[in-house]
Amino acid sequence: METRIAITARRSLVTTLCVVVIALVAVAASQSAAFGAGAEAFAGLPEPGHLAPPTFVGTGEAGTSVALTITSPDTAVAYVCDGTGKTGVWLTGSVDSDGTAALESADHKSSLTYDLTAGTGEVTIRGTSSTFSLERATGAAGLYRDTLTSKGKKLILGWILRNDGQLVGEGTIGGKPAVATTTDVSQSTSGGGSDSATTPTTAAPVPQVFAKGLRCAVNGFRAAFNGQQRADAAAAGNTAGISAANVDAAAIQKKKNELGCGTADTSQAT
Amino acid sequence: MNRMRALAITTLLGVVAAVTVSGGTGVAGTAAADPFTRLPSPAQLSNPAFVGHTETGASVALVLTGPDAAVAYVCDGTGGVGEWFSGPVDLSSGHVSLTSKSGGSLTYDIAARTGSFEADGTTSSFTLERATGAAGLFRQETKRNVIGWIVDNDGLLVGEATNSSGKTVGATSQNLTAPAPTTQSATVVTTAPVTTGLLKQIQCGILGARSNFNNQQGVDASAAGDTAGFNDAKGDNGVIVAKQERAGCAVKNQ
Repeated sequence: METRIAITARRSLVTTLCVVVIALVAVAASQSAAFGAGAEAFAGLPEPGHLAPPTFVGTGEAGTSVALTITSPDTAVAYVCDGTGKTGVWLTGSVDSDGTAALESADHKSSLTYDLTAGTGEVTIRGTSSTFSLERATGAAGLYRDTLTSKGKKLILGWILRNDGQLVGEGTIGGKPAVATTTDVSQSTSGGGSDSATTPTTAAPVPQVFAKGLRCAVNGFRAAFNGQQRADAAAAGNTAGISAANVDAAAIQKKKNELGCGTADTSQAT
Repeated sequence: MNRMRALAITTLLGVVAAVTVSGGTGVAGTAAADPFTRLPSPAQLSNPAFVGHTETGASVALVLTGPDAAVAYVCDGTGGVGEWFSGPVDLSSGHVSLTSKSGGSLTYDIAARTGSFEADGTTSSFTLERATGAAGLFRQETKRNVIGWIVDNDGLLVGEATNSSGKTVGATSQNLTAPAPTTQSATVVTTAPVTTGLLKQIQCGILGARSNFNNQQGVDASAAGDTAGFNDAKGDNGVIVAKQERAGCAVKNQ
């Protein structure tokens, strides 16, 4: 009798333990699933510490794009790019309390000055000077830089997206231009492929991963600018504008899918 | 906050600082070597964001994450309110209607710039404006925690960390226009035991937001010929960078 009770008690204990374990596993699984499902919707949010440096964008006399980013209160970097592979110069320098910035390229052959108060500046590249005007970058506009590596080759990409949607970019390998692009991302993509504007600037073949990275980045810029256009249209109660932006968004997504671009808008950078 | 909790937080932060001092040197070295570290990569392209407040002062942020999707976050930075909303949207109507996991709802009229949300049986209305400069909605997820942050256009930062059960474990509220407090324990409130890793993430998030906002202040001062304001921003930047290095915060374009 005592034995039976003991066995019953033991069975009961085993049953209880099983139920507890199953319940714990179920709770853990549901939490994990809930956590995961919630996370997916929020994938488009930047992380804290996301870089949002004040940036100025604009054009020079010859239509060359110029962007200047304040990287700390007294330091700045600038990029001058025509999107054809002819001109793509990075400059670094300082900002003063009187609103003037003075920068030069690493080889000291190019220089740039900018007056933050007046919004105008002058750039000298290979002995030729030209003036330019900048405005504060808004929305998706700004100066972007990325590095892609493949088979021991390193592609340094620079991008300027202006407030009007003009995008120029250049990629260099070993300091020499390898790819360049100039695209108006404010225009509808539904009529044609955005990657046709991307041109290799060297006779040597560019690694496929670089070409893909460039095209995916262009479509990432397109998607970001399109998002801003949609938000502007919605804020203005412009229903036709929202519909047009939605059509473009579908075309951009289709292009990104065709290219095999990740959701992060660009290929893996290192 | 009682003294024991304050002491515990101070001790934890001390451990964070001590543990990460060695890691900070590399970050500083990299930053000095590459002046372009602080440029964003195309992967960091931002979505349109709106920020503002409820009548009672809680911060609200809404981001259009895609053509037909939006997310929102409401946070008061004290651990009292911290609710995430998400959902599909049809912007052609101009209205955004989102729901939270706990059954709350949030609506926003983009053209009118007003909205309301209901959570825990209480309804609050709010007004938003387009986020500019360093403002926006930020989110960081780890295996154990989700941290949400809102920076408004005036430089008010609120944040809250929850664990995988959705329970609040820490919160912070800071005015980024004022100099950084000398100790984070003055502003980071922990409402449950937290790891040193989480405290580091919170600390680095605050410093990142401070750095972005301070740079905006610096450039505005410089453009206005405000030497004192420019020098203030320059000084603050030195303090922020030193703290980022000490805490081992990653500052890079990825």
